[in-house]
Amino acid sequence: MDANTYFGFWPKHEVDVSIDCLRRTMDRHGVEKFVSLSLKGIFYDYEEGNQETLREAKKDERLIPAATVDLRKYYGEGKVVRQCLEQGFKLIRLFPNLQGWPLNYAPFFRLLDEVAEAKMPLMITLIIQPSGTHCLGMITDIARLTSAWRSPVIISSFDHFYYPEILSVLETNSNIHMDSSLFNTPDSYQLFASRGYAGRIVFGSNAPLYYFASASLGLDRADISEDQKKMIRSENLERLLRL
Amino acid sequence: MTIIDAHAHQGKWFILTEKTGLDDILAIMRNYEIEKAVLSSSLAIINDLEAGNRELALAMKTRPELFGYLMLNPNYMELSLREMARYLPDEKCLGLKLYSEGYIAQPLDCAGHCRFLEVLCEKYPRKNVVLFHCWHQSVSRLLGLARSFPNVKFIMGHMGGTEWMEAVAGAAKAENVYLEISSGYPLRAKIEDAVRIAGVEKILYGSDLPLIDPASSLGMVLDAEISEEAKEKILYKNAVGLFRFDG
Repeated sequence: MDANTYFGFWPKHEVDVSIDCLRRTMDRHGVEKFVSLSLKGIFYDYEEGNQETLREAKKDERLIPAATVDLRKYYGEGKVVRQCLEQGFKLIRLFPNLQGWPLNYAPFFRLLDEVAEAKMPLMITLIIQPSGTHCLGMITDIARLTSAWRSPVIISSFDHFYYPEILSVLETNSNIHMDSSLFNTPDSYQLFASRGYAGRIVFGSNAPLYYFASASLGLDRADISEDQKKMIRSENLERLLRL
Repeated sequence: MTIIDAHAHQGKWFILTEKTGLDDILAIMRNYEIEKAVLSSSLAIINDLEAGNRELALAMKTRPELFGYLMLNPNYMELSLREMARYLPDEKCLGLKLYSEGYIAQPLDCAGHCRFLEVLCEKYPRKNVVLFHCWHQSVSRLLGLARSFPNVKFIMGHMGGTEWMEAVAGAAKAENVYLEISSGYPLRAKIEDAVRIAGVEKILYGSDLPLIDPASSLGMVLDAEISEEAKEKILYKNAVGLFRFDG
């Protein structure tokens, strides 16, 4: 299972990230189910994007729909997350760095209240388009803001610069999880699994925006047990999203 | 598929990774079928030029699969010129690794780097391969250097990083510029675009090991929609020619 995919149109360089390309990629790599969302919801209009995601999920039962909310537009109507849950979305995804809003931001606090009330899993993505700069402290802020939650928060697309920070919050915040899409040091999986966090990792690829094999090869050849790989490949996500 | 890694390091980094010893690097190379790797010293890049180059020279001596780039620092011209005389005659030292901006606080095309390239051309013409860390605005500076030093073969590290589209276009026009693909952000289309625009002969596999798992850039090549022959050139054959591994 892949916890981190997209489809639609990518404006920042020429690349096919269409729904057909996503399906082909998942087929080629033997992925049975994948969490996905329309890029239209990130870049253009989250309500239109979410509807597009739902339509594609209805056509293909392998696609697990994730909704997004653009906090450049949302101000806290109080119903958005509940509606997403009722429509069949399994996850809320947020993109602060790509959309340019901070975590110390009133609309974010109001959305977190909604997500907590609905008990929906939340995924917050740190890096999609690499910029060369890192926003250390974001994971700390997310952990602090969601420390009272029981529902899971998945930190997505973070690289080795964030490892000390994520390890610190994994120890103190049992609701914090992580996706593996930018696990980029040779011992990333071993680093987390040896400290007892294999159950807190879900496999993610960022496909088809990123090459799928870059993520899958790292897990295939990681120096951890087959049981731990199985948890990361599917069992953890099934549990978190109650599939 | 057998692999030559044109961009790896010996030593630690300021990030949380525990596999930085030489035995770790060799084990990772075996895990990914990397036959040879060309390393530079992270100690020499980040901190102590002389100690780092010395450590790398010692490490290469007893390990046939490891080769080296000599790191130079334009803030230490006399020391760097002595390092060239000391290490470049070594057959396992294949060329230079040069950095810019952050660690050494000098632009890529600074006067010191130009002097190193002049000395390289004059005294060590068979060691004329230079790997530049290349990111952000460094791409245009490297392309300028490549025009000034046509006898030097420039490897653009990380394929220009965030400026990879400019790097690919630049490499297409510059006969002596190669693209090394290591990246922790394996954006799709990079390899296909590089092959289509710059030509497959210009592309080299690099991992940035042990900072980055070889899986990241290896996955880029394996997943790319290019021919098997092109993949073999990127992963192996181009490096054999560039580093004269075929004698």
